[in-house]
Amino acid sequence: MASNGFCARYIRYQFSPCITIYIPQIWGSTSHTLTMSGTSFKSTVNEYLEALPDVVQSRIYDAPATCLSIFRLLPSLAKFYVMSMLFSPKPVAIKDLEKWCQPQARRLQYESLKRLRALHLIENDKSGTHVRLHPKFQNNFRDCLTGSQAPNAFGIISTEPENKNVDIKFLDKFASQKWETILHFMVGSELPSVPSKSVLSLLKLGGLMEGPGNSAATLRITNSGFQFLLQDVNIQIWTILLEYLNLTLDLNMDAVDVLNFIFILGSLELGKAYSVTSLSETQLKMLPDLRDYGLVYQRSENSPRFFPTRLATTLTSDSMGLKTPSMVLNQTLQDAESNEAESVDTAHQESQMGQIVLETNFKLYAYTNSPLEIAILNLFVSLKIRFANMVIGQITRESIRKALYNGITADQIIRFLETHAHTQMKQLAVEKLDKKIEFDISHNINTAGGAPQSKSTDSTNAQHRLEILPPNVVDQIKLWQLELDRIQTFDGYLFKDFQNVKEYEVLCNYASEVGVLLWSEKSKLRFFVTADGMTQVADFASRK
Amino acid sequence: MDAIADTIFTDLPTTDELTENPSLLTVVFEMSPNSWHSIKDQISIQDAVKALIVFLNTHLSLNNSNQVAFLAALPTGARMLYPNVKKADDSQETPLVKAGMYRHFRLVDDTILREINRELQLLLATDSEAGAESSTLSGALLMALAYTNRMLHIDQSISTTTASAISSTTSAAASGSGNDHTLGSSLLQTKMSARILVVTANDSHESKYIAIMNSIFAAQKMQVPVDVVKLGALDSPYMQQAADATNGVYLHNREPRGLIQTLSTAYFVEPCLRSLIILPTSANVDYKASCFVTGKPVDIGYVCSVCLCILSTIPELSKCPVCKSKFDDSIVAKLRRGPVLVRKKRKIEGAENGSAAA
Repeated sequence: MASNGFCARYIRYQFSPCITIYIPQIWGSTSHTLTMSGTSFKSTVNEYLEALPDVVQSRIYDAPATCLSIFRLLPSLAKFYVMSMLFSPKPVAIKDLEKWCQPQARRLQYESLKRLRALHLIENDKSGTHVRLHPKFQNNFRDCLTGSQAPNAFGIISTEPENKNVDIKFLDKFASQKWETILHFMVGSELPSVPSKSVLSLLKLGGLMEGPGNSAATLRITNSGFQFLLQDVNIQIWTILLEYLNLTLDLNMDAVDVLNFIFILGSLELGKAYSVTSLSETQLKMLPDLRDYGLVYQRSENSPRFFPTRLATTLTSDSMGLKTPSMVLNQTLQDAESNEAESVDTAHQESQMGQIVLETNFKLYAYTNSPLEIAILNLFVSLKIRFANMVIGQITRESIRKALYNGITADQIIRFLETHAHTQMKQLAVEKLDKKIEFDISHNINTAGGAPQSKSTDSTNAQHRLEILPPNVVDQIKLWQLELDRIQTFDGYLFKDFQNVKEYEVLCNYASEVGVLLWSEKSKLRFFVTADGMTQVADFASRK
Repeated sequence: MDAIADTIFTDLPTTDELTENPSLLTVVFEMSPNSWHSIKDQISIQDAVKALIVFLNTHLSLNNSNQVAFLAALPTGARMLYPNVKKADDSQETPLVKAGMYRHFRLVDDTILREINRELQLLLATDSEAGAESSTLSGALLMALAYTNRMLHIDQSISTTTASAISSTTSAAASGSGNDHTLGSSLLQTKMSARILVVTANDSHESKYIAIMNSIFAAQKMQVPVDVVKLGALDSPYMQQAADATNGVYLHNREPRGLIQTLSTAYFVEPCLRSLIILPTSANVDYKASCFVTGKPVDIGYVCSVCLCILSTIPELSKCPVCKSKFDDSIVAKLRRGPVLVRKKRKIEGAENGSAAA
């Protein structure tokens, strides 16, 4: 095997500038590079954490609350690796790590290890063949699990009696009022009060609003601001908080302290008062700002106590697959209202939960009178009629295109419609699904693909999916988006000039196994890999 | 053109295709005094509980919406220790775990420790001879499955939401009233996954074969893996079968001193990772069955042709003791005669005469 020859060629390409290839795309998913295109807050936070300088990164593991939160943000396979190394005093061989997984999981394994390395959670020991956990992280996380960490790691509950009764209902109301003020301000509804100066400057710095000066009157919402409105509350808060973190350097605040406090907030208990004595100076400075966002409640600036609200305590929880904080908020508010009013106004409650009816003829009815919601709908629906409690509109090619040109993706629109769909639509979808499952079972159509116990992960198969929105509308929205993205670009490296087919195949197969192969042409003996995968493939090539 | 498009579509590097569902971990802890006494020089029950508590914490640390349940199989019956129905207000009692601990851990750990202490004291007070013989593991396992089923299908909208995980301190009435109209929204959500961990040190022979087998089949159907930690001197064939049939992990731990190390490596496989990780299980599983009448394990026996129950002896009344179906007299007579005839060369004839070998 002409390994030397190969290495020489590889080096030549390593030093050549990054080649970009253009691949015409006819049918496929799109990769808009948007500022906030992440489907969950996890990706946003992870990107930020990975981009932190090494010095800062090693310091954030000093706090147990941060260790716990960062652990939660990891992909599941990475969690498994961390866990298996956590109670082991000796470093683990890299080869052993690979042995734990099935061959088909190699790509996931590569990505989890990459994530762990990027966060410096694992590091090679001197020999280079073994890895171990970051020692500080290992100690702190272990202490956190066994309960032997410092007593103030998760905040100190204030024991002093509170003269004014602050209950969860009150906190929920406070949080939603604060947060909705910001959102309403962004769409320009008439408000009795405008958000504070710090909020306005953050909105401007984050590119969500633009305009001359920082005064409330001159600011206008940007395209990314509209995208921001379509997001889940959790992602919205994280977007603001990360913007805040970027700002800390200018304010001479310690980013590590700020980050730790955010993670501590995520692990506090709702409805309990916490003492400010355990907070550092930076964290004390943060409190008024956090109050402006509705994350914490403090009766006055100098109060020795603060109360985390639901927005804060759900910061590090995964909203995907579970109720979104906004839904929780809505529901609790309704409960509060209905409890107070004693008479349960069901129509009103339903309108709060989900209010959009979408028909197969692309007509959309929304039972709402909130200017915020109507403004959001106006982004991608051409609204026709407005009544006191509802608006009627039509989804058209033009209206969707307008949204797409503004940088909103089809997935965002679909997700928004799904989460806000009317309860009746959901019930209908469930009934339909039940009938379908029943039909399949009675006609003995095995859609599960194999014996019931063979695959525990694929319990819900693709054919039995809950379709809340009419599928033709969903498909059409996706098609309209694809009309716009016919060309997709990737940065990466081209491998060529192989001496024989065998050499080509070995590398090409490896690249496709780890999932970094973008394009290959066997007759010309060329293939193209992503920029990220280059090192991996190069390592493999030099090992051969 | 199509060829190019196809390769792009399939080869697009997707970052995270494993969706991580919140999961429920139910621990079934076998607490018969005899079995723990017999391994007292290896591990004490306190150390085992400590390791289990840390293991529960690690499970809770995975995901904010993860749930745990803890069941004890006591000689007096199976008991649910967490979540506890008659929730004692722990504020007036002195906490058993450090107050600085992460809130979710603290609530769970404190309740479990308190309940275990109470059960152990109750055990001391009652006559230890009373039910020392029979194992209640099967009952606890079935209880765990019933609880899992409830969590997966009925209570999901109430219990697995972030809201209730956070507001576990709020009154139940609030979540009850919100119950009806969350139904629609909860249907949107992804499924919760579940698994069961059985920790047993019992070396005595499991008498409730039918119950165990039924729970294995139920777990199989619900796609709930049953992991088994077997302490003590002997293997437990039925638990081994349970793990094998449900894609779970069975390990016979003869050196239980580093129990937490074993738990955090071998047993820390989330249901969504089961297909990707090579599970540490032994290949040779003993598919031993036990006689439905005497409860003794059998290697070769008789099987009722109607209900497939396994018998070590021919029933007296030539009727199946389980399904009461009548056997053909001539065949029974033939079977009865069989062993008498071939007493000299029992080995060959004995196998032939059984209507089927189990």
